[in-house]
Amino acid sequence: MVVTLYIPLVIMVLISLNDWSNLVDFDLRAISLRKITFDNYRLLIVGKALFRLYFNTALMTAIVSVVGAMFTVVGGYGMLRASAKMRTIAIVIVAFAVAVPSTVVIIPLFIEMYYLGLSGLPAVMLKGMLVSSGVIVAWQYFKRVPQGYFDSATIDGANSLQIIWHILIPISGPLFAMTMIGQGTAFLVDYLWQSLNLIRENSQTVIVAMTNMTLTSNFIGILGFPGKYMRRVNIEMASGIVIFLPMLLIFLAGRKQLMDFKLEGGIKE
Amino acid sequence: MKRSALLILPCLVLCVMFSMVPMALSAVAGMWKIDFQDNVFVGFSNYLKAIKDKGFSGALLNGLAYGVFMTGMSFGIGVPLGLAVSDLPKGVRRKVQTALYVPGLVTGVVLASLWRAVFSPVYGPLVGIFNVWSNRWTAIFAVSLMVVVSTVGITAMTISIYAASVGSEVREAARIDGARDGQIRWRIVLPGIANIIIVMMILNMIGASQVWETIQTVSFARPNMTSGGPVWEIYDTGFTRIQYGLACAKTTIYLVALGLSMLIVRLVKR
Repeated sequence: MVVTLYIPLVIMVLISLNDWSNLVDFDLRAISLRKITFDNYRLLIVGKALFRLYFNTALMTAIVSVVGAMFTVVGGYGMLRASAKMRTIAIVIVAFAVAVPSTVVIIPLFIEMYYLGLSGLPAVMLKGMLVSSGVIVAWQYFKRVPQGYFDSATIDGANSLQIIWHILIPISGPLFAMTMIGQGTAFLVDYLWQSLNLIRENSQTVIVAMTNMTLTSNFIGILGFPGKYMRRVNIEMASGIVIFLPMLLIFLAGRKQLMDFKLEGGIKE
Repeated sequence: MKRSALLILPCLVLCVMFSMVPMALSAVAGMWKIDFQDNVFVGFSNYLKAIKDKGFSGALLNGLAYGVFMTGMSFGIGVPLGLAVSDLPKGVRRKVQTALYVPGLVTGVVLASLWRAVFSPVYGPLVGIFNVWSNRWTAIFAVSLMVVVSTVGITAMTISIYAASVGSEVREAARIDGARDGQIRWRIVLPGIANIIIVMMILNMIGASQVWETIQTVSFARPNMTSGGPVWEIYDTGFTRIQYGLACAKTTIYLVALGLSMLIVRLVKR
């Protein structure tokens, strides 16, 4: 059963590795393991547009992942220090953010960003940094840290940021990894919001450019390689793999931390 | 209040900005004709238009159908698979859980190329046999199938994690009492995590009604724009037909419908 889940991915890889001239139409019988070629990937690289797309994606993903993870840790500590009333208000606000995904309110959100003057890259980055339920998880995680740690640090003259930096961040590896993987993968696949805001080609990410390209069959316009205006299944598959790889890398990098994540936290009395 | 409590503010500001403000704005903007230059107040006419719009009411019904199809398939496969994985020894279980997670990283947009080709009425392998896009319900089923193939691994993995948390001493006691593996899974472990699975199913139903990417990139709501879900319909109204006010009115109605359905679920559960 688990193997079955990989069938679509395997088919995609195989088609992407076949000679493009053989596979204008979708015919699985035309796939041959003896004619493996990287031509489709080479064609995607022509014009160096792919490097720019990857650079944009890597930079933006790194920023939203790290800032999102920082917001989670800092917010979790804020929840720990907040009064019961403020904590209740915070939980209600977070619950709203969880219950109403931004996809549902995409039109008013677009209007809001326009009137706030945040349309474009700022809107994409801000949405990428949004953490909601992560703060509650972080609060629960830090609740297990013995109060004595905070008291000792406060007596030693440490301020909140020093407590976060010297006590909480070192014990928050799995929490950090979990948040970064969540933020990173969510950002990498957020085609809807990014396609609405990243109009300029220079600022586009891999998901926006590749998906637009396969939707319009506009390989020439977007990547600038020579070819006819036609649908080429194997190049579409190659672009799908190109989008998938960063997500796989992020997951593999944080897999151990993610699997080891326990709400009990890293310290016990 | 301690000053350090203010550290939660950046997170809350973003939450408010991306959920509460758009919700409120949606209700207000629904009463305007918006073109970003000279917006005109039109009262409740957008709301009346949305209520009378057969495309929108059809999309709400489609949302329910997407929810039923996706939740049925996802949990019909995910529950037995997750329970089976939870029985494996810890080392093997982790590897299988990882293997279940990876296909979930290949989201709808990424797989869109493959699915477009598989179900293409022009050059796909089903040409001359069956065109799934010729009927509203088969189109909805096909889109649901695509989403489920991507997400069922994550559902199974999550269930396996919860199922594995049912203590080994409980399983051992059942085994001593003569229960077989299948009986332990279905009569002891499953009832122990039933509440979590119900919550997951409700969330899945709600999430399924919001499917947008696969419709936009593969089915294009064929035939004749009749198989789109509520979010796709709202997007189409706003960004394709450029009727932002009407789209906001539809958003508000959809949010009210979602809220009401959650309330009904809660009442039934009580």
